[in-house]
Amino acid sequence: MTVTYLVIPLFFIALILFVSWPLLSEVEAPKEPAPAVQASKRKKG
Amino acid sequence: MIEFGHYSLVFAWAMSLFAIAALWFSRRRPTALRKSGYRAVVASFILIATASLALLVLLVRHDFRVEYVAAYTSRDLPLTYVLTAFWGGQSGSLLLWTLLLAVFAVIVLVQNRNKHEDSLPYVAAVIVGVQHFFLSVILFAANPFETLQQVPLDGRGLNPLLQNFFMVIHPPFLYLGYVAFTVPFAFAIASLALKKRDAEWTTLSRRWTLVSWIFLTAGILLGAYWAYIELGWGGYWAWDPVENASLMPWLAATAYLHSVMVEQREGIFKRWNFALMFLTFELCIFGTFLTRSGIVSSVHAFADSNMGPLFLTFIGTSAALSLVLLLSRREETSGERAMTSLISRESAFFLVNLLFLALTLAVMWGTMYPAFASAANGEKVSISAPFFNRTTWPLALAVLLLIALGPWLKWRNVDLLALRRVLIVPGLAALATAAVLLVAGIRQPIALAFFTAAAFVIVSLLVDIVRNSRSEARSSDTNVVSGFAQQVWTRKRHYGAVLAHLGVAVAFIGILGSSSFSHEYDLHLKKGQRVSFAKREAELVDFAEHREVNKDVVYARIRLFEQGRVLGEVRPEKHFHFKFEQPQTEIAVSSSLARDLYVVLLGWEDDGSVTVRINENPLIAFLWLGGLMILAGSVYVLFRSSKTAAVAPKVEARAEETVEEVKA
Repeated sequence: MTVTYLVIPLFFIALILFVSWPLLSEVEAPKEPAPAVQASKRKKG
Repeated sequence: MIEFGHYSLVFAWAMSLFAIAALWFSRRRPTALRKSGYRAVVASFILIATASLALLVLLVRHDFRVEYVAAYTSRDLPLTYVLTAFWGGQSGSLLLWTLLLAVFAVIVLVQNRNKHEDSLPYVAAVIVGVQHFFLSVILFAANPFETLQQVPLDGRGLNPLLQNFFMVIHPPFLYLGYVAFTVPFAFAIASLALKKRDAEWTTLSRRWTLVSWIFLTAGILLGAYWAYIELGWGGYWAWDPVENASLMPWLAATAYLHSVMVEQREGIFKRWNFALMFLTFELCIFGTFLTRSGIVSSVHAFADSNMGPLFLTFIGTSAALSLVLLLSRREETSGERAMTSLISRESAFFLVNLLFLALTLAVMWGTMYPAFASAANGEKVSISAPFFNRTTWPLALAVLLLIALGPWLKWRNVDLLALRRVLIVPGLAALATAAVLLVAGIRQPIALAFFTAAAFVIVSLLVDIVRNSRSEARSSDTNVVSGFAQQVWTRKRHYGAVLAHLGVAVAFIGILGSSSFSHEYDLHLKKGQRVSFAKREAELVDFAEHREVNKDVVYARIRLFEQGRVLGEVRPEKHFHFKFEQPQTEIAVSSSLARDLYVVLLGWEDDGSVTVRINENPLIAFLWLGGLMILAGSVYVLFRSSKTAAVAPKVEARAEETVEEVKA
C-alpha cells in the first residue's frame, strides 16, 4: 500500500517533468547571443 | 486504484487544457512551448489510458465500492462481459470515447512529425479541445470512479441483452467511427485558420475520413445484426432514435466522401465540403449526446442524465465557431471554376450530395420531432417506421439510379447520345427484371421499383467492368480475365468503389425482400408431431431446461422440413437470469441465401407442448452480404499504394479514352 502511495505521485511527477522538459531546457540554454551575432553587433557598434 | 483512476482523469483534464493553451500560443512559430504542448498531448493520452486501465482492474476485481462496477457487473458474470462492461454503461462508454480520441491524437502527431509544421498545432489543438470537453463531461457529470456509500455484496450485473458477441464489438466500432471524424474535422479547421486555398486538408485527412466511415458503417451493420439476432422481433432496424443517431453522421459523411472527390479533381465544392465535414462532426457529437441525454425515449438509450446542457453548449459553440470561420474565409474557399454543365459527373455528385443531405434532414426531423413536440406543448408523439419509410424510400431510389449512371457520366460534359447507347443493356435488364417480377405475381410498387433499380445498378456496373477489362486486354495484348485482374490491381480506387456500389444494390435487395415479403406464423407444437406452415413443416424434437451459472435456460429443439426433406434443427431458448426479472428470448435461425426462418420460443404448456413464432424473412442474407461488399470495397479503396496513387489518374484517363473508343 505504501509503495502504491509512493509510485502514484512519482508517476504524475514524471509526466509533468516529461511535458515541461522542453521549457525547462530552453531556460537553461545560454542567454548570451551566439559568437557570430556578437561579432556582427560589434561591427555595427 | 479508485483514486489513481480518478486523479489520472483530473491530471489528463489539466494536461489537455495546458496542451490547448501551449499549442495556441505557439501556433505561429515552432518554440519550446509548442514542443511542450505536443508532449502534453502524449501525456494526456498516457493518463487517460491509465484511468481506463484502472477501471478495467476495478471491474475485474469486482470492486463494488465503485458505483459503475456495481451497476454493470456481478460476480457470476463471465470475464468477457466483465471487461466489456467498460463500455456497457454511460460513464465507461464516455471514457472509451475519450481514450480513442487520445489514441488518435497521438497517431496524428506521430504521422505528421516533422511535416506540416504550420497546420499541426491547430490540428492537435482541435483534437485535444474535443478531448478536453469529453474529460469535462466525465469529471463533472459522469465519473466512472464515483463510489457508493454502502457497498453491496454483489453487483446488479450486465443487462442480458448486452451479453452477446455482437454487442461486445458493436460499440467500439461505432465509437471508432464517431471519434475518428474528429481528425478530418481538425484538419478542416486548421486549413481555414491558416487561410489555405488548396485542398490539402482533404488529402491529408483522406484516410482518416475513409477509416472513420468504414468503422461507422461496420458499427451500424453490427448493431443491426445484433438487433436481428438478439431482440427477437424479427427485424434489424426499428428507426429507433439511437439507431438514427448513428445513421445521420453516416449519411453526411457519405455525402462528403463523394463530393470531396469533385474538389480534388475539379477544384469546386470547396465551401460545401467544409460544411459537410462540420456537419458530420457535429452529428457525431450529437449522436453521442442523443444516446445519453434522455431527451428521446429509446430501447437502448442510457438513463436520463444531467449532461444534456454540457453537450448542447459544446455542439452550439463548436458549430457556431466553425461556421464563423468558414464564412470569414469566403474568398479562400471559393471554387476554382463554376459548374459548367447540368448533366455531368460533377452535377451527378452534387445531386447525390443533395439527396444524402435530404436523407439526413428527414431522419433528423423524424428523430427530433417527438422531443420538439414535447418541449412545445407537452404532447407525447412517437414517430414510427412508416414516416421514415415514406420519406426515405424515394430518396434512396434516386441514389440507386445515380449509382447506375455514375460510371457513364464524364467530367464537365456528357455526350447524351453515347450515354443512351451504353445504358441500353442495363435498361433492358431492368425492364426484364420488372417483367419477370410482375409475372411472378409481385405487385408491391416499392419492392418492384427497388428490385428493378437494383438490377439496373448491378448490370450497369457489370457492363462497366466488362468494357474496361476488354479495353485493358486489347491495350496490353492479353485476355479479358487478365485485363480484369490488371484493372482491379491498378485502379483500386475505382474498383473498390464499384464493389461498394454493387454492395449497396445487393443490400437493397435484402432490405426490400425482407421488409416486403416477410410472413409470420404462430405454431403450437407437440413432441413428435409435424405441423405445416407455408409449404414447410416443423416438429418438436425435445423440450427441456437446465441451469447455468447465472441463469435458467428453457429450450425447444425443433426440426424443420421443406418438401419432405430435413432443412435442419433449430434451438430457440428463453433465459431466466437470476438478477433480472424480465426473461430474455434467444432466437434461433435457419439461414439460406433465399430466406431466413427465424424461430422464437413464445411459451409452453405443462404437457410439454410449445408455442413458437416463425418469421420467414426472404432475401435477408443479401443485406448482410451487401454490407460486407460495401466494407470490403471501402477497405480496398483504402489500400491504395502510393505508387498506384501516382499513376492512377493516368490509368484512369487511359481507361476513359479506351471506353470512348469502344463507344465510338
